[in-house]
Amino acid sequence: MIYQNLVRYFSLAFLFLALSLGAQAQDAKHGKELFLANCASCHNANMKDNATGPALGDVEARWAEFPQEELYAWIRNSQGLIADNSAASQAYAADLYKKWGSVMTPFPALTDADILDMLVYIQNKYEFGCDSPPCVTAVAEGGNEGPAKEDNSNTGIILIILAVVLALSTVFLARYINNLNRLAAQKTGGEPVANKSFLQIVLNPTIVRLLIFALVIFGGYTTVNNAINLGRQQNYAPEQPIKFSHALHAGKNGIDCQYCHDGARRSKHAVIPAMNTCMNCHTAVKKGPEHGTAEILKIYASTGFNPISMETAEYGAYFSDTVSLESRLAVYEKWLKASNEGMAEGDIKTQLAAVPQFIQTSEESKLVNTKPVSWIRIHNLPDHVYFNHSQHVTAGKVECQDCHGAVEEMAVVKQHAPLSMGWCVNCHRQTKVKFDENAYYQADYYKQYEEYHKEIQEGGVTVEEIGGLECQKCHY
Amino acid sequence: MKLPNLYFFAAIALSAFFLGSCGKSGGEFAGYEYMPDMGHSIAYEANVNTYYRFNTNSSEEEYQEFAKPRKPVAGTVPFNKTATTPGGASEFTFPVYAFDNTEAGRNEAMKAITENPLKAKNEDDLKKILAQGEELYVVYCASCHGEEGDGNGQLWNSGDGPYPNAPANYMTDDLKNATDGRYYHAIVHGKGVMLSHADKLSHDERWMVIHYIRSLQAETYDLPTANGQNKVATPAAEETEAEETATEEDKK
Repeated sequence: MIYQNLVRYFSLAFLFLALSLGAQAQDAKHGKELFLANCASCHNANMKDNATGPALGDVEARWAEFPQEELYAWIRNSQGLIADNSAASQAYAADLYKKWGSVMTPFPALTDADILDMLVYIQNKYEFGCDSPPCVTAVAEGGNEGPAKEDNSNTGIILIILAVVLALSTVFLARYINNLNRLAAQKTGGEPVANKSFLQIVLNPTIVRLLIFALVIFGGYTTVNNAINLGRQQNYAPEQPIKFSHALHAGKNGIDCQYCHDGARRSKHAVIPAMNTCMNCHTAVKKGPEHGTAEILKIYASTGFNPISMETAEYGAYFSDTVSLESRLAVYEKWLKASNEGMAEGDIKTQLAAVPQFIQTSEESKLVNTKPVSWIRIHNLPDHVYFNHSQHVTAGKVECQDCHGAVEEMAVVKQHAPLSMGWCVNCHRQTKVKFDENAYYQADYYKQYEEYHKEIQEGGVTVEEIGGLECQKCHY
Repeated sequence: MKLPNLYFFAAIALSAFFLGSCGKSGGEFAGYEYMPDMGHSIAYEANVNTYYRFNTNSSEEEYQEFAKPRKPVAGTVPFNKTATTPGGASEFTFPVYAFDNTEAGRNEAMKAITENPLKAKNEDDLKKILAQGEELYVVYCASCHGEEGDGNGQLWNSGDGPYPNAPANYMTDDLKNATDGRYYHAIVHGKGVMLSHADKLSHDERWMVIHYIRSLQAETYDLPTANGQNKVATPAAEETEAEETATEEDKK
């Protein structure tokens, strides 16, 4: 009986809990939709970092001293609240506007219920990091592993075993023949042949000659091959000053190669991008999934970016060159501490230690200048070879991966191709020109070709037109 | 003739083996060079900062200083065929963008720049512009603003992506009705958390991209090809004519 009651109470309680959680999830879901559609352009979706507008976490706590309607009015029309003299929060609102300096878009259509839902979502996201508790951590995707390595180890082991077996049988057979010879000599009464030691057998002049011959062949082969490879840098994969991962940016995030290497389509160089390209995203993205703040700090140091410009308004968004290295380090330290809660002091110091490499101080003027990052160039062609990226990318429509390999899978970039003359020539022999729908060849290339062909057939071509007036034809 | 001693051959074989086994590039090691004086440029090369000792132009420090990415000299003006000035477009002038990176400048730009100076001469031309606009859009805009222009690129990913702020959705009435100046100003100076993309797209390319965005909007809202919106014209001849007359009217 008791158990039945217990079960009943529990099931009731569970039902109630599930219902209330479900209702809350519903609210938060609605709030999320509204937030993403209306607010997320200016307010950071993690609710913790500032963007164009302030971080929204704990917004209700900040407005707790004022009537709730005023927060709602502020969300619907911020300028209206600033102009409203009867509002208790007028001064606070005016200060906020002054501090942030941009007008928040009015949203007069939001109902009280809408705003409540959004506030629920905002607080959930801020406190628990998900839309509504209980948070279920997403199961990490397992499909991200690289292509399975070819399993060569098995055949290798078999080959080694075979070689050992053959060598042993050779030794045994040699011994056996030796013994037979000795027995035969004894029987015929001849002089007994001395038992040869293993060393004597191996140092037999015939075997030594054979071995040396093999060595000369093998040595010559490797020497020639390596001499050909002199000056080539295939597989070169140096560590860069910033641990930029192509696997993350181009692979997982799917950013097009040419977004950063914007010279590839229009110049000789693919271009190692200047730091403003990094800042296009990293003004907002302040923490990476692999190295956290450590590598992004280097970008900020080298561009002079102030990641906490709202807290340290005296410096502005970018440090001017009169701000000393010490003040910059202080700002960065404050930022690192705020964004890496619970990180050991030593780790923060290690991250900060990288900053001076990306900054230079002029000794005469004492001004601090930002410094371009000294990336290490991997693909080097000798000066006597002319290579133009735009000709291959824009005119030839060659994929980046054809020459550079699967860069989008490389955490550290490795030179994929040998960049040798033979490699270039081979590709030029085999690649079919993509004339069709190619602006470079004007799409009607074939039509033009036909026209010339017709002209030649009809006999309207003069000697001049096939190069007959070149000076060197007569005066060479 | 007596063959040389066995040891002689052995020495050759071993030295060949050792010579051959060194010098393979990989990892941190870039390999050895062969005839370096033909491999290194004496002139400064973009993105190259490996000093070479036969470079007689400057010391290593000076070379490193010059090899860095540098800003153009102050006052440098890019040359381009068309310009965006408050008065509209004019041929063969320097495209000095006349509007400041401020809220006031943005409002002025939105009022002043109302038409796309890159006009398609005919349907073929329009197709070419849109094709190139699409290529550029996919590379430089789509990762945030979405391939469909719905503000949901893979970096935002409905709020789950690595980028923390929602990119603009071109498929809203607000942006559909906005003047071209709003788009152009955002590309040149950025807006909100978006930074300037002026270095990524040339003047003409920016207008190609805007053409393409307009064509996306025209498809979504089923707008006619005339009226400044660039939907890819259907084969029907009437529509093309309508568009041409519209362009002529614009000129007047």
